[in-house]
Amino acid sequence: MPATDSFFRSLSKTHTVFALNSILLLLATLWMLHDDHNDEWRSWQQKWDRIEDARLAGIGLDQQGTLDSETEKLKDRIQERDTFLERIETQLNELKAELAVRKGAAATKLRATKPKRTFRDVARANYDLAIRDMDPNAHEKLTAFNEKRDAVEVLERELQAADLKVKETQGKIAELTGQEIDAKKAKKELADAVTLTRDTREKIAPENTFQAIKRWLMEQPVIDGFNSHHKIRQDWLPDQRITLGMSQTARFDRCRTCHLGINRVLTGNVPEFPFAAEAEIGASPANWVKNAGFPHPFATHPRPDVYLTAASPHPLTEFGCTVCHDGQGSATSFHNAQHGANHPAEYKKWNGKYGFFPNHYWEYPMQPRRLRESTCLKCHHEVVELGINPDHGATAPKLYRGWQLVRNFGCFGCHEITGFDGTNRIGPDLRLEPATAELKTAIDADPNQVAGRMRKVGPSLAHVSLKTNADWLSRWIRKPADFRPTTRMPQFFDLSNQQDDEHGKPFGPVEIAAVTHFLIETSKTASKGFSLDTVPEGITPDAKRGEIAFRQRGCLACHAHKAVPDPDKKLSATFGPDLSRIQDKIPHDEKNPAAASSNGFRWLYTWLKDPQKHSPRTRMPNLFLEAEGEGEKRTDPAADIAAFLLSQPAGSLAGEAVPNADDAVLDELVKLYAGKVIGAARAEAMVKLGGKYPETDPTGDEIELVGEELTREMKLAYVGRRTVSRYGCYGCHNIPGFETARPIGTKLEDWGRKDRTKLALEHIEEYLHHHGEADGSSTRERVETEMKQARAHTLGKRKFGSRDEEEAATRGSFFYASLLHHGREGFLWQKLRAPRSYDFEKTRTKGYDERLRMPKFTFAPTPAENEEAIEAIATFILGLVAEPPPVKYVYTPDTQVADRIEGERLLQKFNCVGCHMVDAPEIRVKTTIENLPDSSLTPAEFPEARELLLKIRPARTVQLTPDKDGNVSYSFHGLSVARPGPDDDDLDPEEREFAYNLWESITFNWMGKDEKGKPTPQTRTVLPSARMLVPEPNLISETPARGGRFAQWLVTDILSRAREPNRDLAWQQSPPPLIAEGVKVQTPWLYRFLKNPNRLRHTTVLRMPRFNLDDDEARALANYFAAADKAEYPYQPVPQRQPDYLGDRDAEFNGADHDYLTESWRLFNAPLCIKCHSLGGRQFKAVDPKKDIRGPNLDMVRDRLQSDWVQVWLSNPKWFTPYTSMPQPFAKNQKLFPQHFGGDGLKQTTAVRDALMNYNRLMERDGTYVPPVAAKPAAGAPAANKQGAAKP
Amino acid sequence: MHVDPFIDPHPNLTPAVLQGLGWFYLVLSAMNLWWTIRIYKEDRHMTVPVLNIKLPHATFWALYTSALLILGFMHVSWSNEDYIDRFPLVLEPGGPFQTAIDFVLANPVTYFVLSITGTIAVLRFREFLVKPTVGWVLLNVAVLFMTLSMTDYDFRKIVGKPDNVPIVALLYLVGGFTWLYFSQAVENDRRLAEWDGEGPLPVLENDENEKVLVWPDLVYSELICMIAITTLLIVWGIVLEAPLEEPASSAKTPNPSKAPWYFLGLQEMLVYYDPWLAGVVFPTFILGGLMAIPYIDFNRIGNGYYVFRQRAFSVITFLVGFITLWVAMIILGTFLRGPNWNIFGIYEYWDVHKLEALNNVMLSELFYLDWFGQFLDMPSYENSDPIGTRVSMILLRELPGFAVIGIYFIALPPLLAMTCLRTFYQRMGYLRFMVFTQLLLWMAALPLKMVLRWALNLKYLVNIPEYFFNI
Repeated sequence: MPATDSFFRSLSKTHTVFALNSILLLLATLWMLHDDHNDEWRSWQQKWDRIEDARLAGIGLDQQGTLDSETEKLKDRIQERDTFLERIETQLNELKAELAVRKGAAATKLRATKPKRTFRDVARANYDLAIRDMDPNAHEKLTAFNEKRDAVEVLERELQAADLKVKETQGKIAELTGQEIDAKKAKKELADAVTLTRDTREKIAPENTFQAIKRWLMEQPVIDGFNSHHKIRQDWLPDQRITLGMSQTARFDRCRTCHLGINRVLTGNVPEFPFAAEAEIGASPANWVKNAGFPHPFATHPRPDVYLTAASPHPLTEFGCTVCHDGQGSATSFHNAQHGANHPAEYKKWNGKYGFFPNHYWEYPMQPRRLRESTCLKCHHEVVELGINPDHGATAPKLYRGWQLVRNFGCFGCHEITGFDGTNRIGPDLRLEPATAELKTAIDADPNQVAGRMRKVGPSLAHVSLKTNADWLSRWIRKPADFRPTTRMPQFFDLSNQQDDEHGKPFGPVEIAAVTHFLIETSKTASKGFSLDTVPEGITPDAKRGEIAFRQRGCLACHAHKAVPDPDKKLSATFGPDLSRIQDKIPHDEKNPAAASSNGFRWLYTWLKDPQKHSPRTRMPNLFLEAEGEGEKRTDPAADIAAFLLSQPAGSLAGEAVPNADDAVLDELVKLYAGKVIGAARAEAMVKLGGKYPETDPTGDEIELVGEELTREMKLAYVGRRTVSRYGCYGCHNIPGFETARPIGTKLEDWGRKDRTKLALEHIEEYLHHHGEADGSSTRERVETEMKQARAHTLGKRKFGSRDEEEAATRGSFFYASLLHHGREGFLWQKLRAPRSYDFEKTRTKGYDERLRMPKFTFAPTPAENEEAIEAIATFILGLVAEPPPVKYVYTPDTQVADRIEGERLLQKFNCVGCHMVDAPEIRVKTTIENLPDSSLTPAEFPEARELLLKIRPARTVQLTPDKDGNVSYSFHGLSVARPGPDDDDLDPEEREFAYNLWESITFNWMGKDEKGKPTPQTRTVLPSARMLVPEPNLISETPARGGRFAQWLVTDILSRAREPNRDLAWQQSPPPLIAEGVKVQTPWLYRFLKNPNRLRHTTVLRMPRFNLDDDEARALANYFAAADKAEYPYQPVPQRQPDYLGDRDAEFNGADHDYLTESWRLFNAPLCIKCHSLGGRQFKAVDPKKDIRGPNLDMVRDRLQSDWVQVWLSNPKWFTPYTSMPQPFAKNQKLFPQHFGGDGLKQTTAVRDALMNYNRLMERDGTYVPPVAAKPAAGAPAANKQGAAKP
Repeated sequence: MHVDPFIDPHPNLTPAVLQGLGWFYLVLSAMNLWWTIRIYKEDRHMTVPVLNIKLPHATFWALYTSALLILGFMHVSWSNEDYIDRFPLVLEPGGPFQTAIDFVLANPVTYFVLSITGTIAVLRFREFLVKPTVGWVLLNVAVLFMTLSMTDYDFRKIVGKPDNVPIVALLYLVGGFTWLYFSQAVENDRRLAEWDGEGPLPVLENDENEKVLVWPDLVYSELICMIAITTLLIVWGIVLEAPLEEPASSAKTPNPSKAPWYFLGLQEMLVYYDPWLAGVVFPTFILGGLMAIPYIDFNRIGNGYYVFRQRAFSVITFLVGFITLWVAMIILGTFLRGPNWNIFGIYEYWDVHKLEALNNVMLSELFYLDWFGQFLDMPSYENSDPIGTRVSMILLRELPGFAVIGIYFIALPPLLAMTCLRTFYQRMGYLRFMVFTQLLLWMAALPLKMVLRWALNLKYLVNIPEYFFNI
């Protein structure tokens, strides 16, 4: 710098500016470092440290002393080990010295022995040579050899002794070394334990300042880069790939960086940091620890039994987080992770707190709570296991419901949901089955195709002209809910985009008239060869009898009818249509509805008798409504039911009549549609000038226009056919001529990933602003109200009762907001609420044929329930992403579970659970250990049978943990036998008792005390049919049975009619529960039975109908029961037919003139079983028809029942069916038929079982056997005499 | 009105916006406080017409400053949702002001005319505009315009995008520097006009023409600037984070997909010219032309100091070229070009469904079909024709275009030399004049093509898609 002061600027000022700037730069750099360090996740990890500290401090407060003494104890033990080790060392050293000496001795001996061995060998060789050479002195040589040998042997013995000593010492050394190693290991473990206690103490109160400083230092910027305890935790999932833009890459889930306690569980899969909705994130960690409730992100996953833990089906290391939750796994901030707000108020809260906003560019935002189940679909293509799961319960009930709704409402009729890409599974498969048998054969033969398997949900329209008339049909098409509010048929007409403008309004009625005309005419053609059945001569249908039949024959398992009121929703039969107004639909003789001659009556009669005749793929079963009785008393239940249904008072026809098609409008439509094919001008000419259709061989719907002259009928048929094509009616109904038509809707298999920009939202925002709700009010206003509530909730002003309530109360605003953000969720919601609303203000610029066609469905009666259903459907649809994960992640159950899942699907498909109970009601009670049900066997029961019972149907284990008052709570499955009536109201609650029959075995385990008062584990097994008495205050909950609504209803119905109500008898008359069916019946028999059910029971008022099952379905259902009960299948062994078994029995029996089986056969034919069953060629004869109860024919047992089950059943029938009338035939404490097997009950039971299992052989070999008439009735079977019934 | 970004995806007002506006007003108020003091020190007075009271000028500025102060405090302290419901929006969404501005801006014709007339107006009224008070008022207007516009969601969205912040700064910087140039140039013009031709030039720059030392006056200052700029960039980097956008996908391109801001002028040219011209030829000429300027410039006076009158032609050419053809294009590209490259007003929602009719025609079509359709047939050929026939037919078809271009580039320079640029020609000589006119014509080609597009929907003068050659 030149030494002059004539600078342009003052140097000191410049220095100041320089200094200032430098300081600013330093500050900026520090800011940068801070900003870089100040990651959101670090603050969470710091908070987490405070939780851990608080927890440890909590432990420490009362455990400091324990820790101290434990450390002392450990140290003592280390000392002890050390002494022991020293001793071992000394011994080892001594032994080693000894070993050295002994080894030396042994070596000396060896050295001495070796030359002697050589001499001996030489002597032997010399002798051998002498023999060869015929040496006369050979014997001398032998003597020499013997000497040498003896000398060697002495030495060898000494050598062996020396070696033995060496080995002995070596063994001692090895033993001591082992002890040394063990001791060292134990010492190390002890030392580790000491370190652990020290570390624990360190955390509670860091005595070591150095440690504290080090810890603090490792948290500082820059330094924390060197393996700090605050770091990003990530799960690398190389197989779980994610598509980003153009390529696929492995997932990195860093969620655990903040969700630090997510996989922390205590023993027994209990969350270590249980989530609590009321835990505030702003509160102090000590508070959470104190209340044992944690907020996110610290809480443990609520379902560790299903997720994250190593033993769960979704271990963390294999599944990570984002494959289920979506969101951006690589993110380490709340915002970037793209959490999904459950409603806008929550979003707003996050927005304020974390600067959160939905990033449109991230294609996989986290699913909000309300839709989170949707992602399960990626791997769980069959869905069933998510709704019904014996291990985990319903894990995704909403998704399951959505799936059911999609199936029930037949969405797949128009919207194909292909679960396959070629033959690779990509998702749930909901497609219509091939329309014709030929198509099915072709697809089955093609290795690259898999056939769909859904049946059309609507009835076949092939014979609709026989069933109803045009007037009713047109009203129905116009608005089905007018006739039947509960119908699943959606509404196509009279929706906003048809009535909106002058242009579209007149078209609707013409289309309806045309469709009606088309359907009636087509069905007339199709019905030409179809003959209706007639009621047999001499039978007069009777409506009164019909009503009884209608109630008892099982119709109500699927159908509702207003003549059978169901105010408590006990039946809730919605599987089939509500039949209350069927008389208005079927044309019949108004004056004499029961007149069997009317066509309507005949149609109904035909349908009832054999539904498949009309519709080969119907799910309505054949109920075996055959004429029965003789002569005067001959009745035909089908005719009676038809008479009953048709004689219901006629109602007024619903809705407005649809006027005849206006000719001008009809012409318009013909021109519109035909114009698209042949050009507007030619269409105009054709209609106006009355010309004929210019083409002779059209391929499309225009075939209706081909003819000499264009008549009105042809126009109607054409427009009708076009309308059917346009609206896709054939997606749900079988319509002749549309067998090969393709579904009309958007395919849905990957809709969950549909590009948002491809959603045509049109003017939906404006629509919802002004209209939108079912009552016409503004959705926007509704959303604002909802938002006010939700905001009050998030501000803590007025809290919702539960998260579910919050979810329901914000449903509208969530979807509305999604819609405004062009979200798929919102689009779907509105599309299902009001499908045509997307045409709002669009119809003016759209042609009539370009308008939206999706009809409006009513999923549930009230708008709120409807939206709930829509949310469930949305959950399902949004889960359809067609992004199958690698095969190992796809849920592929083993055969047994797969069969169970398939069976569950079929149980619903055919509504088997409408009649049959598959799980008894679950009753949860609280009681005390003293009041647990008793377990002892009665004197009549065999302990062997009990064992066999528990083997084929193991007891459920219940661990009882008494609370501080000594109360325990548990649940059991059982059927109610008595409950306090209304008259018991004034009783003391303690005296108001509920009684149940137990339907399962339960093993209770608890910690009791032995005589000395020492705690010992106690166990007790309660067998089925135990009577469970529950005083009202002890009853916690009753979960209804799964399935069997109709059976339960029928029981009460029968009871209400009976003169002497007997619940057991009523149950015997109803469809039996199918509990433990898998261990009961033989699977091949069940298959045959399902295909063609024969009459089994004589007590029931109805018969098992024949369902329209194909072979695969019957096989799957048969397998289901065995799979569900974890029984062996498909072939159950019957060892009782094996020569080995019979040989053993023969040897045991050792009969003089006949063998074991013959003896069994005689016992079986003894005057006991015959009292109730037909057997051995003899028919059951009721002595007193009113009292005697006829059991099933026993000739079926051999093929039908499993031998073990029969054995247990014969030992105590009530163990399987508590309500049965079958008595225990051979009690333990009675000697019945002493002439057979010495009256030993157990042997007799087994013998009868064996006779039953060898029934055919014995019938052929020994034939009908009539036992000699006994002088007096067998004692010991009084029960049999009284009730004399059996009913397996 | 509700301020829930989830329910209202495009809220005009939010508490945060009000808060921000409040700070804007407070800063503006502080600036005006300084200005008021400055004016107060000048101690100028004016008489209020009716009341006949003499008031210092500073009174009005003080009032204005106080108003801003109150406004600022109100915004800062009342920025809650209840207040928003009662907030009097000056710029009512869809109100006449917004409509008017959008109408003017969202149309390339008015936009271009506006930028040209603006430039002319600046040149014409430069002496008025460079008055300090006028300059200050202009700054206030510009800042207030920005502030008020911030109450509009769509405006905020475009202007507030972190990418676009430099361009907003650019707007103000270009305006500020232009104003600075003019204020200096006007002053020098005045001084030169009064100069009697003797002695050193009386320009401002001569007032401080002492030599200074490289160290410390230059290098030290540069060092300080380096540090200051580094600080600024660090702070900028922390405060305005670069937005992460969608993952790259060949199947889905962003709409609109825009070049970096400094290339938006080029991208705008692509609307009017074929890529080989707009992307290759024009940039080459721009760069080459800029390098050639020192060799073309024949004006020996006006160097080393700000001046207008002595270099009017150069200044006007530069201003038109830089401001209207480059900066204005960048602004157009940044703020006005939306989805599908349609033009949107600054207050207009970028709706992808907006459509603009683009019924462009070729010159050959205009010529053969519209103008001389009665007499001439459009030359055409079959693909089976021999190559000679095809080429000649193509050439014949495009003859009008070639003719126009030929006239423009070949006939126009001599014509200019003979007419309005006669003096230029005389002083520059043949070669220099030819290079100069060629460059000038290339520069003029853009606005001319724009005018042709707007007036005639003309897409290309020469259109030979067969060989990917379009002009």
